[in-house]
Amino acid sequence: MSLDSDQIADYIHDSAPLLFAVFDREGRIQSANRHTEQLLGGRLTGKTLQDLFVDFGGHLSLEALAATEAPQRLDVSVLGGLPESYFVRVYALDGSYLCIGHPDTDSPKQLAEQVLELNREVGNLARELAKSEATLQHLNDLKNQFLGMAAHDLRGPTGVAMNYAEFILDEAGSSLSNEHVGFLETIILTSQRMHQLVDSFLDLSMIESGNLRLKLQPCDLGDVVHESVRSNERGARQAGITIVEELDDTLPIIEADDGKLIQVLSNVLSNGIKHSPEGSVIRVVGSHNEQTAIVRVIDQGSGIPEELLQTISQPFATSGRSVREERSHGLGLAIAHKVLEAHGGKLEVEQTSTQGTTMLIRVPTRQGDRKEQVDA
Amino acid sequence: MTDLPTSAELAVQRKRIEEIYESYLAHLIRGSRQACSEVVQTLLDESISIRLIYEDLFQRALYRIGSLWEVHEISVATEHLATAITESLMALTYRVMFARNPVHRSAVVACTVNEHHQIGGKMVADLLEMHGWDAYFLGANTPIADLLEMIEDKKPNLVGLSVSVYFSMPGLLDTVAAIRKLYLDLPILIGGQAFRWGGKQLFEDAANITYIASLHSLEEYVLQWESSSRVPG
Repeated sequence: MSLDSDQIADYIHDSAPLLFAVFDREGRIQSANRHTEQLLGGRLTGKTLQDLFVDFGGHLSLEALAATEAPQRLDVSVLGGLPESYFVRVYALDGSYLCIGHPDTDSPKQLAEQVLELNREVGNLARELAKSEATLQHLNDLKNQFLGMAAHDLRGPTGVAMNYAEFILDEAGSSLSNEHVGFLETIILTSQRMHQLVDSFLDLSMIESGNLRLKLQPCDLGDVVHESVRSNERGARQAGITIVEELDDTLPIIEADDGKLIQVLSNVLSNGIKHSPEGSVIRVVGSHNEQTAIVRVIDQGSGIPEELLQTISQPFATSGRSVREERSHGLGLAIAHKVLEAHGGKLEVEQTSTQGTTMLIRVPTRQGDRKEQVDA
Repeated sequence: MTDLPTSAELAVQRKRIEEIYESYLAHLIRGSRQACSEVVQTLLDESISIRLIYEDLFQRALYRIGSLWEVHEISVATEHLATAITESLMALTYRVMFARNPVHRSAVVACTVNEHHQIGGKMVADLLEMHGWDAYFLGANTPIADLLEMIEDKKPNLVGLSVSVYFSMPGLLDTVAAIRKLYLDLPILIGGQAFRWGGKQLFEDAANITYIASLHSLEEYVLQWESSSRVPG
């Protein structure tokens, strides 16, 4: 069996994945095979070389191509798709031109190989990333575990030291010298600080390990403010600072964990005291709208440096503006931030300048669907 | 120790995968990554064993696609796309996989020089992770020097070497020889599709080199290690 020229012509016309077009003397397509018409999306009779190939410069000509010995790589303007590269030769015939080309298979192959290689690399990087994330999570869990254990074990002894010192001061204070009374007061003060720090560690460990549980109940926002101010009065007095409450008469009863909210406001107030100058005033201003209760703590401190604003709610990041020689562990605002987040609220720095800072506490008045989540 | 499903649970899970296998295969052949991804996510949501997903879904489908390619029913591009999609699907399991309790054993897994098929090796590394191992996967076509450097750095309990194409066998022999020169007793696991065509006999007399025929065999090997706390014989 042997193929005759008609069979070959039929194959080229009907099936071969080749560019095949015959142009007339004026450069118009007289006929084209099926593959070429499929690429371009329809009948090609009467079309030009520029309709067939991408030709931004308008330099392509049948004469020039016919004068070139080697096949030229040209891009076919594929209908609805990316241009496809073909190696094309043009033959000048009597009164017409034959344009024939085969696909450039090397470039797509290289592209495919590179894409596959990239896919492998992305897959491996995703694996490394997931592995690193899991390792970090594991280390963080260990850290929280340690923090919780250490804080728990320290809480007892500091409590005992504080209580006995208070007991001695109460029972025998009158018979002690001023110097010894001073020693006991120092023990009580430092024990209290250590106690607070240990409590903060425990809170943080609980929050970070996802074990923060809120006991939601109706609570009076005014009472929360009073209690928070009261717990900070001693520290404020020692620093020569006055705390002033300015509350709406109609502050709402909100649905919240009152103990945790007192902690939030106390932490914010305590932070304000640490960073306010002697003789200044801290205003605690309460207001509300239908959905949100708002408390502003407005101090006259030296402000928060701009570079610290982004990290102020992160553990161990301090607001960096202390006016006294007080150590700050950067836990108070981080805990306040997390507790408010658990309530669906927010802690923000509303404004800060060298004249003072306004911290804004927002809490939703109702917990709605959140109740079950936080109570669980 | 890893909390593994019981035989009865595995049987139920296998049945579940069997139910969706054909549609998954069809999606994979069509190159529909999104549809495949939904299937895998559904199985993960149903807490189907990742090892079963790897073996009964990913591996089975890829072997089937390989067979279809061998008889010219699908193109090489379809096969490559199926492999690429499968690799991206493996990433869906990582959240669960890497959350295992560590057992403080580590492995370095690599595909040898000139071996460009990495999915089998990656499955080996992932299965070790599922069992709490710290498995470092170096990827396809790993130069011997890089592998040795990693072994020196991580001091693993074992090394896994994967070869998918029989022509990569000389690369495997060279790699094993290079490791042995420096680490006389380090257990080496070898495996991969290349061994379908032979090659096991090349390692029969070698000490501490174990041929692993399947992910199931690997799991048995790992469990044996866990139960005896020493290198399986």
